[in-house]
Amino acid sequence: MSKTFDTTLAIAAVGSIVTALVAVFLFAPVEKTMGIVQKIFYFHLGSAAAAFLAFTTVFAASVLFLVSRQARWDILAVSAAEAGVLFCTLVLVTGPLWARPVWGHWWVWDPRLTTTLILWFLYVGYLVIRQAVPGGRGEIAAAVYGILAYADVPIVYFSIRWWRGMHPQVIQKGGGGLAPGMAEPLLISITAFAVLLLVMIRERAVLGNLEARVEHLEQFVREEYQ
Amino acid sequence: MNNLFYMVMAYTLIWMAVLVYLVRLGIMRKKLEARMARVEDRIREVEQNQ
Repeated sequence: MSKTFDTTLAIAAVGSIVTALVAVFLFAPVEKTMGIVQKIFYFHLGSAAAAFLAFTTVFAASVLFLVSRQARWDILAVSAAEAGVLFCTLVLVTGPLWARPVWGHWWVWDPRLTTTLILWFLYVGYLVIRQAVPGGRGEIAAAVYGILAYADVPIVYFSIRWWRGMHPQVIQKGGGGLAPGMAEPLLISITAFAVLLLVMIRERAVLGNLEARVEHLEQFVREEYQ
Repeated sequence: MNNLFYMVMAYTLIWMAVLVYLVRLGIMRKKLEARMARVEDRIREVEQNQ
């Protein structure tokens, strides 16, 4: 894809982030009981949505890699896993920053929190496997692992319905637990994080392809000219 | 610590992390471009000598 596409994507990311910040700080109402700290929630949930989207991409790209054995799917999976781990880390950092003043604790072993922490470890494990196992075996091992690790994503999502915990349930059947005026900034924030995720994955995948080309040429030079 | 501190901390950490990751990608790109230039120079050098 062209440089124009990359530039357009980058402009879209910056524009949507600025729009999200304006929507959250100028238009979203201040929550009555929690106060201004509730505004963490917009980007906390945006990060969570981006992480889910990234891990879904890892899953899909891993399946496609195992089926086709084309390197581009492996590169896409690694790129998405890196961005997913970044957003999952942000979820795990911003959550406690909201929880401390609201719950009085940085962390509780709530089902949603615990399964999210497991999710983070699973995808850090993915990146470790991808780096540690050399050659084509590493790509296959990471793809199989990427498919298996995805099992935790629906568990994280449904954990607040399956088990009792302290984590608020924002998305519910028939409306949800949001005050009027909060849904729109939330949707804008989620969109902004999705566009940002797309930029990160795209840029990382371009570099992954470049890296593969450099390695191929270096090997060629070693074999032919030395 | 008041609520404002937690909120500012959360937003600062989010954008710092995003920035650090994008800078990392930028550094990675520079390094790869340098490696590519070295390989291309080597190929050109050998082809000129042949």
